[in-house]
Amino acid sequence: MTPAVTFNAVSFAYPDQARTALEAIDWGIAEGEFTLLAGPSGGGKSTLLRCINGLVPHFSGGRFGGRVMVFGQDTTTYPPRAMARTVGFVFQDPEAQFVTQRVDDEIAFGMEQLGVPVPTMRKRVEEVLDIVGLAALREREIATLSGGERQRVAVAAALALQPKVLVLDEPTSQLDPWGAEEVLTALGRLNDDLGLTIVLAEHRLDRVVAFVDRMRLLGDGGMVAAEGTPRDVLPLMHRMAVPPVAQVGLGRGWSPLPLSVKDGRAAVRRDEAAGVLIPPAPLDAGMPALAPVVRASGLSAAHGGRTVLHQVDFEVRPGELVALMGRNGSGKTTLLRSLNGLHRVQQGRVEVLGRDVATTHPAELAQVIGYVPQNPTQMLFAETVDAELAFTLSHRAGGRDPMEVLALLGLAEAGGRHPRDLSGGERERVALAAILVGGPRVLLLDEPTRGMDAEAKQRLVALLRHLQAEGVAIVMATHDVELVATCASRVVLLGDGRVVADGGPRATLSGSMTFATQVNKLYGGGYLVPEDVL
Amino acid sequence: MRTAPIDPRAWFIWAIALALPPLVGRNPFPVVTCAVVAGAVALGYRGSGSGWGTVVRLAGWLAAVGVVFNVLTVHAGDWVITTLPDWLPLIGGPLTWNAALFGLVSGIALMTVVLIGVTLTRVLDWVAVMRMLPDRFAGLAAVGAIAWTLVPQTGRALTEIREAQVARGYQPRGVRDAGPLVVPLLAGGLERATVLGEALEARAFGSSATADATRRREGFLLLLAVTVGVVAAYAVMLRAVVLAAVLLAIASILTWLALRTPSDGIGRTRYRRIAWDRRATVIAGASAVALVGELVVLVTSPGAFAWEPYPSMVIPVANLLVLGCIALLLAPLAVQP
Repeated sequence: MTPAVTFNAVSFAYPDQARTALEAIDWGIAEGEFTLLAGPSGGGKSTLLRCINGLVPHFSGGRFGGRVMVFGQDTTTYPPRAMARTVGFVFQDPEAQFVTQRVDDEIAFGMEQLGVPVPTMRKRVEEVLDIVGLAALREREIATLSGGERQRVAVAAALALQPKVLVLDEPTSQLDPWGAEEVLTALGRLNDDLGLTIVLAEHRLDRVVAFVDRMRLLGDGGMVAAEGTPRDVLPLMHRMAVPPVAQVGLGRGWSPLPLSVKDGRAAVRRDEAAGVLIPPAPLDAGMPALAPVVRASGLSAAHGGRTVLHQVDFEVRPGELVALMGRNGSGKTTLLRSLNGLHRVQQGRVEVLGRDVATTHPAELAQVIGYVPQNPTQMLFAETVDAELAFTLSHRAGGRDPMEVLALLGLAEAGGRHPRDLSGGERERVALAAILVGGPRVLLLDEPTRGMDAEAKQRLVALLRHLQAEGVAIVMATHDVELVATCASRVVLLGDGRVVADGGPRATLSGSMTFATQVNKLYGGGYLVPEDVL
Repeated sequence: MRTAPIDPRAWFIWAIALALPPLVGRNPFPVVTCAVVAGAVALGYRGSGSGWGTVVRLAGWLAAVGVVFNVLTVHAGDWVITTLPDWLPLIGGPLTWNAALFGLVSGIALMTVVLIGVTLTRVLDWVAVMRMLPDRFAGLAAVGAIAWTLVPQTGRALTEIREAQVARGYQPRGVRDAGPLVVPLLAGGLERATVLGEALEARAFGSSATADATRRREGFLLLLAVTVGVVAAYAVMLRAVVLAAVLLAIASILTWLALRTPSDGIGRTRYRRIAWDRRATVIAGASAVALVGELVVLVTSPGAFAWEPYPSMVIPVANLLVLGCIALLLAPLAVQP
């Protein structure tokens, strides 16, 4: 097959960095292939993607060696703006890449820059709107769209220039499961129907492996640690990084290895026909018989003039890990912020360790309740990680040993480094460390696994279990059902600002059409995680 | 489906006419009238543009600080409130109502200009502005549009950062404690700017750019035109009408010379242009009448805009023509959807 992209002895180091981000990369991507780049954060995935349209080195600067050829064009010769006709690029955060306010304006923006004639432009706008399924939204303001719709606008804007290669850098990391599904379905259609070459970097393999033809597992410096079809590569990866359905397949020796729930169901049927038994489903653990440390009663709250929480009753006990789940806009973040006094409630009462939140200043509440927002890196300001933790301690009567906290989070070596010099995942852990060092008895986490790789997620799970064992009450708003199934002791489902379900994870997630885990979709009953059936 | 935007040119004329009185003088009558008109229109078009609340509050805070600063440091005027001991540096001396009132009017003038800016943010279609400008100014317009959207974004980011730090137990007590708020704000802003820069490059932005030599020549001529224009505006304020007319003619010729060279980059195309409709005619018409009226009064009777409460308090002049002109600037409310 003709190569669409070839890397010839590519090496690269960012300006003022001694360490190389890419080291002697020598491989290619065939035309019409849907390629997935997987691997830990900091492995060079984003840098590699930016080489394909010349952002590296034209925009980034730095020391670049070797050659990247894209359909015969050398990216060191052509700047990214010239490569825009050949390579479409979609970034992680859809909001950060928009220039205009309206869907069709955004799609037309790139074509206007390239002087595409108006009639052609109109035709292409209509075509790409149909391709990504946004025709009905062409005149909508982008700010009013959901995350999945916004990312599809970004894909459409890239497609409008009729690129031969579409490059996407973690396009679903900021999206809920429904938004991610919308985007990936659109990408699958583009690859199947139009033969578009697609290169995608992603951590959430459970979402993407069923769509891709080829997978490259990257190690340090962008070196390929494993390469092949997902069925070839997944068995070589760390268990935690493998999608649950594939973990079950590997454990049970299924061949071919299932990549989707649909594949897995066929294998389960074969097992059932062969009389293969699975262990009985475990039961939810009972709630601890302790007095609640957080108690909200009749809680109503508004946001932007709209009531987003209606008469919510909610309790959390020491050592519990409560997962708040629900669609975007269901009130999860508002509930979290109401618990620590950052959001003023309209009605009802919230008590944390006996303190009335309405009459206690959030800074005083911070002595007992820690809050890690969706974008925790925005709280970092100090020169070193150690200073960041010392700052929290300077506002506390007590607290934990900073060295112990850093070790728990895998940051023992990072104490003397500047937080902004660390990778995105490491910075998020520094922010978490800055909260944990204060020794909160209640911890509120808002989407803590957004953009996290498998290793970081595993470390987070271990940390949460450690804190639970110490009696810390944890409330976590998340869309990550697999994480919830792994570590939550209770799940509260919110729908339109109301509690629609509250119970153990097996009771709440099992059989749910939207919140069931992959394993539960395969086996039903109370099975949630691969360990339940292996 | 959203209402079609109004032609940006109409809004620009409206903004210039409304900003002129508070910028050229401190007469409380036109300044307060402008503030009322700006507030009414800002409220009338408050549908979008969230995030500006912080900016308005900040402007209000600065205006209040301005009043206090004026009272404490300007020891002129005949209506004395009280007298602080002379040995107090800077603030020692008589504190006067004259200074308080002048500071208050200055604060209202500042708030008026901010409200005009907020209204423009809410109503202007910056993409339409970008499309309206010649290719050589596309970069400038894009930078303006992005900078304009960054203001409310920065406001929202500041709120989020402040909340995150408060939830960490932090309670700022003064300017010296601003580090935990300012550093993440600046770092986050730079990171956002980098991503946006990458996105613009990746989407062919700048393909219509002209060669460096042409751009330098254009830049020089335009800078010269702006300088001559500023001198012309000063001549208008001095009522040297003939000199002002000559200078404006020179500025116009320089601008024409700068723009007549065709761009040597890729010619941009426009996906859509905003149609000039009845609403634009109403706003531009009323605003043009108001602007002409204000300029005529500015040349013939500058006292209508000025007020000097030092050394003695005087009652400001109320010029009904000026107030009538400003009232015309409520026109956007008449065509509001």
